[in-house]
Amino acid sequence: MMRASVERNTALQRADNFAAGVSAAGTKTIQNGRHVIEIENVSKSFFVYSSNGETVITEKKRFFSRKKPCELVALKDVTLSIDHGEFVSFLGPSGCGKSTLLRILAGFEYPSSGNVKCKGECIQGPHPQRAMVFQSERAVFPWLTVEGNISLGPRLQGTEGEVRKERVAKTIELIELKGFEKAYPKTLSGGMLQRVAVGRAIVNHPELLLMDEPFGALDAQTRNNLQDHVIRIWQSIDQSIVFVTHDIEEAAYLSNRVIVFTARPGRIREVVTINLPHPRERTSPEFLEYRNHLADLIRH
Amino acid sequence: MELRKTIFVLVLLMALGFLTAPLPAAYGGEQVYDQKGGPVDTWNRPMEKEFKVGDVYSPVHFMIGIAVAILVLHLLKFKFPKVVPVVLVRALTSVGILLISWELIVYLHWVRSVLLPPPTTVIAKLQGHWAKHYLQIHILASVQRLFTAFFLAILTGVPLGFLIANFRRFSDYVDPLLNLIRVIPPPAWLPFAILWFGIGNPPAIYIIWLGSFFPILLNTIRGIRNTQQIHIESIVNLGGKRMDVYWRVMLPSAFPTIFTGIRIGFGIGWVCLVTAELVAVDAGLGWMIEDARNLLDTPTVLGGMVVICILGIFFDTILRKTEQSIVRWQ
Ligand SMILES: Nc1ncnc2c1ncn2[C@@H]1O[C@H](COP(=O)(O)OP(=O)(O)OP(=O)(O)O)[C@@H](O)[C@H]1O
Ligand SMILES: [Mg+2]
Repeated sequence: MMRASVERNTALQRADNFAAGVSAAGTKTIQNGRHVIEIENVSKSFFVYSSNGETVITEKKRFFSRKKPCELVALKDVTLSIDHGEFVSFLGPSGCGKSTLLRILAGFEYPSSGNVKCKGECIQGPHPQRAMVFQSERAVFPWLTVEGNISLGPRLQGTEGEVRKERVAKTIELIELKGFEKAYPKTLSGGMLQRVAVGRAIVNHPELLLMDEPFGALDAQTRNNLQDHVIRIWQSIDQSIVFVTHDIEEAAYLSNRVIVFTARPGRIREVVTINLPHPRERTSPEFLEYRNHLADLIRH
Repeated sequence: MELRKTIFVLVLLMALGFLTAPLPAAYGGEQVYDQKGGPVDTWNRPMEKEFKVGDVYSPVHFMIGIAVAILVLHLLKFKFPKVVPVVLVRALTSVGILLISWELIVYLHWVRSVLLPPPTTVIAKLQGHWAKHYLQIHILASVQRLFTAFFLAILTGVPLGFLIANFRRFSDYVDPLLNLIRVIPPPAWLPFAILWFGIGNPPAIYIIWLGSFFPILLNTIRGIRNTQQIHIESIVNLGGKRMDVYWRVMLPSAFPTIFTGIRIGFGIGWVCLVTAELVAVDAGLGWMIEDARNLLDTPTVLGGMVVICILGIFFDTILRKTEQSIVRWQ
């Protein structure tokens, strides 16, 4: 029966699950083999100017400089598919191309070679069904209130009146910002801002949530709270999440699969499947084993 | 602190003296007679009369008396009530010191009063002009002119700036032209403005428009070009189309910068207003000043300047408050 309910998985169904809120937790099913995203042999390079061909100096060339144009390979031959309902993390050192890959998935950039498909179709550009939470909380619109920020998505989708109001209220409840609806972003803390960013992305019930180090700049306590938030959101909405991080514990704590990248040019070093049920115990021996394994991969 | 309070109260009383003293007959007030039936100038300005102890109507004496009284109170450690914000006390203190010393300089015959009309004379003149509805006419003419040009400048500057900021090719064509015109000081256009538009409102409006247009334009361009890429990406990601990027991201994010431009533009327009009115028209504060200058009526000249100053502060405050109420998020 659960199978059937997932089968007719329309946006409407997702909205229903979402409206049911946290109580829907546990209905989460990952459908192996039903790919949301297929990444085939994707490489991405940027053109930059450099004096010796190795050190990257500038993006632009000054008139008299002897810098030569050269190619900076950010991603090389990445092949990966993401199943429906899966929680995948990209883990890798800084500058290895995690954000670049995520931006390709979001449709902000295009691969230099290779294919990226979303549900069988090539990604043509940004789409609200692939919602992005940006690396910096500056992405929240400072001129809109919390409510304004979150209701912007439905507004642009043409969701009107009561439906929108209800959806926005549900989302605000989910990110636990009740009472701050009318607050402007400048009056919120960093963690609250990140939650607004998350809320803004999930309010449209996207099929795929792309999160780029959303909690990178936060303290450990807030970060842990928000991680639990994300898990709860992920469980309550039938969607897949791609989560970029360079924090090993975060990757191990959250995801079904961790994609470990090498340093630039970014290649997939190893894919680690984490077979632990949520909620996970950060101190359990199994968890620590996964963590150490990931740490080894990153280190060497 | 006590001293400041003292001075503040002095200034307050001075203002009270200005406002409550009877208007001299020369300026439309009721004529006052002394015991012998001769006419008395109620303001008792020094260039007309020497100081006499019996001139009770002189606001200067009134104020000096009060000042002495307060200083005595102050020496006796009298506690003044704390009724006013400290910023106001400070502001009024400096303004008050300026006004009092100014008045005294002329009163003591250190400077000829025609060269520097004292505050009391200026106020009396203004009171007179106000009573004869002379001042209102000129204020109205100026303000109408200014606001016509100012709104024209907003209506042209903001959309044009928007186009220039967003469309590369358009800006490549238009930018050089605008830069050529921009460096010409607006008053230099006066002769041509008069040739083209004739005497009256149009040339003045043209000059004022020119003055306030460029700050508005440049700030609009800057504000819109400074829109954060991440905000544009965010709204596109939420399903926004081109128009949503323009209306929901660029405009609000550029708004504070645009509004700064509007305020600067208003200031420059105000300057151009007076310049234009010196020549092109037959009513307005600028014209009033010029006319009074021809008659060597220096109190009216100074009074006109004071009115311009007060109106400028008034409108700028309104603009600032408008900005604050719209840009609550900053
Ligand atoms: N627009 C661009 N132009 C030129 N080079 C770029 C551009 N965007 C990214 N790069 C380069 O691509 C590489 C990968 O960048 P990316 O932002 O994907 O790294 P990242 O893995 O997200 O790192 P971090 O963890 O620090 O965020 C970097 O070396 C960066 O310099
Ligand atoms: Mg990054």
